[in-house]
Amino acid sequence: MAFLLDDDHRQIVREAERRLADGFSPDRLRDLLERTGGHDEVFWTACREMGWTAVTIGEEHRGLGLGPVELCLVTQLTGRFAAGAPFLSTSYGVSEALRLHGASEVQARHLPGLAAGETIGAVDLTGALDGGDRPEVRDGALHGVLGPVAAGLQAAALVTLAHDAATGSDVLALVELDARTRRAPVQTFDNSRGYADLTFEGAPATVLVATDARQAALDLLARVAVVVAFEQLGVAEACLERARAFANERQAFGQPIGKFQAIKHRIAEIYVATELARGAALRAVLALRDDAADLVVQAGAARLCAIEASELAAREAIQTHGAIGVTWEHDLHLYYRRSRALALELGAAGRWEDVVAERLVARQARGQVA
Amino acid sequence: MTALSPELEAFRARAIAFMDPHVAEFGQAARLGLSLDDDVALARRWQATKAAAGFAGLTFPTAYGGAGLSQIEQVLFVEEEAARGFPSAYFVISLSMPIPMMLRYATPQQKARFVPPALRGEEMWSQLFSEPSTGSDLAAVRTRAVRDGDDWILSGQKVWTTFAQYSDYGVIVARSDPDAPKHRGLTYFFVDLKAPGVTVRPIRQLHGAEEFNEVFFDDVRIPDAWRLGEIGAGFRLAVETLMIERYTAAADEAGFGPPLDALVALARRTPLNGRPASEDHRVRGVIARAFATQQALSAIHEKSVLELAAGREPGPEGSIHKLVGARGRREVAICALDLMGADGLRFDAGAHPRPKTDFAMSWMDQPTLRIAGGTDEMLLNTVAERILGLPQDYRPDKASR
Repeated sequence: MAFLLDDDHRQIVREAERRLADGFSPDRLRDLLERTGGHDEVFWTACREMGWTAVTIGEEHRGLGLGPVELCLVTQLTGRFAAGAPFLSTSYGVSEALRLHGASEVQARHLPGLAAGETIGAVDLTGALDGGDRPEVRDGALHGVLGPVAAGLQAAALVTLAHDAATGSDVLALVELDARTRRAPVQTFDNSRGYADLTFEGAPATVLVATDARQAALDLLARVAVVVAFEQLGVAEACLERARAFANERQAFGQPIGKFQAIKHRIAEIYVATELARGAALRAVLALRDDAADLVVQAGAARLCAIEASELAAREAIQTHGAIGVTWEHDLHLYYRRSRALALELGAAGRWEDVVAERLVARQARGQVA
Repeated sequence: MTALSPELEAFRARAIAFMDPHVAEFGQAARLGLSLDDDVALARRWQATKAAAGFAGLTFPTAYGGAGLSQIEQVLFVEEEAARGFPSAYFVISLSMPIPMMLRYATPQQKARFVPPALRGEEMWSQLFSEPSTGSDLAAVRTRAVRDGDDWILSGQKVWTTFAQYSDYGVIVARSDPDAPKHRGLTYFFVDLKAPGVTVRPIRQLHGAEEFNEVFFDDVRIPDAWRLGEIGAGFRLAVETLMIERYTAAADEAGFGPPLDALVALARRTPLNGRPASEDHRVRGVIARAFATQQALSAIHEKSVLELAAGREPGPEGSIHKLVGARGRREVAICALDLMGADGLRFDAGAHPRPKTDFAMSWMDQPTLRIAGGTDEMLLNTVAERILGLPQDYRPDKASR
């Protein structure tokens, strides 16, 4: 499946691009790098005022009732502008979990706040990939540790895979992060993402999924991965554009450096990777919109292409710029940092290779065409 | 959101209804083990069958035996042909380069004479641009065209001419004015490849098969009426030839080589460190990355189809298909041969190359794929210059004119 943007989509993109360009301040983003636990409040205000926090949430919960396609058009732009907060995609993870698995009173309790952007959500679902230790749910309360979790510093609600002490099996749980959760800010190379180590000492936990919870967690992780794949695509686009512009303008040995094949081929390779990432992301967002049976493999394909494109674009854009590209003053390290952060947050490429290949192998074993 | 219109879906259904009864005679299974000669003969019959049913030359005018449809129907039709493994590749050059140029530049009488037999597969056409000293640098052609009254005398050599040994005619670019600047001294003709003085000599490729040829012209006389375009316009027409229907990604019959499913099956049945190789992370990585790339390419293709269906030009991103496909093919083929171990050495040198059904052949053919129809380097240049607007390379040949 593929699709073309229609007029409504183009309008969303135009308005979002205008608003994000207005608020874009690389200096403010650089400042955020120098302290732990901050985020760009100008950006987050834009998300709330523009209604981007409400895009995928149903109208009955004061959302806009649109779909993931519209959200992804926005996250693609947040990637382009190296947005200084992760909340659009992390909150989406929580609202999507509630939409799919929440009882109506749980939805009613959290979704309006998420739609308004008053509640920030976070997810930690990588347990679905690595099978490592998880926090434990006992009598409706969570105990244990997680982290670093993006938006962990700011989130009021978290969805994670946990161990249910009563049944001995995994559950997908919604956790309310109140005073019974300790949050320790974590200094990282991408400091605007609210990373925190979380220690749960009886935080209220609601079981969303008790059967096949690991599968449900992977499905949810895949959904967030699609939204983030568009953000990664935006990172790649921004770096491609900067590399292209610089190669056209910078003169060396009596000509623009873009005349040298060593440079122009490198930039062409960024384009190739970026277009692959776009193609795979488009296909995945349709699988997401349609709740397709192959959502997880399509999300995996999109994530693999998006990681490749964003990291290639960021490092090769720096290389194209030469020494100015490795200075604090230049914007490119914002993207270089972000590309790696996004490659790590939802599970590294190698883990997703396993997810995709395992499903293709299983599909063939069941007699379906891979 | 856009989906294909009911009319286009109806066309696809009609194409499928036409094709399915012919799978036994022309499909992938029927072609296994055929020599190149026999496969080409089969391809001629398939072309004739399509023509009889009104499915040949879908985009060509009805006056000359075409169906008068647009490129979107052509793309949909080729998708279905490729899915069934029909032998359509042999006529791709004939019908997507020389014949469209005939339709643009030949006289009505010439079109009436030459287009219908080409559509029926009775006559095949070649494109004669490359020369021993002239590959990607098209304007450096040395083959001479010397005016002699109402005729021209062609002398020189072309090379890498795909399927010329089966061709009846070709379009050729030759140097008509050696004193003019490089790009302005060329003229474009069509030529009878069975005429006296034309010698076609197949070239044996690295895998042993003979798909290209050298074509020698020893004082070959052609009438001025066989000139296409103005004298001196040869370079422009040659570029125009290469730009026609650039969107042929779906027609890439070989692409990635054998289906990814074949690698998955091989990995499942091959032991590696006491477990199926399909559990090995390195193998999984190749499978997953190839899948991701194929999904991306396929989405790009579908988007182009939707753009064509909406009456728009497809985006330029379709041009990355061959570059990416060739790389993916190498990864997949080498992984598969590695899994086979010493069995991966087996190779049927006598067989006609079938990169789609055999990993060893897919690997052997991969270097050709990187070069034929535009080398990786030229494709990257095209992306950089045409799509991204980067400056052209240092070009002493242009600077000197």
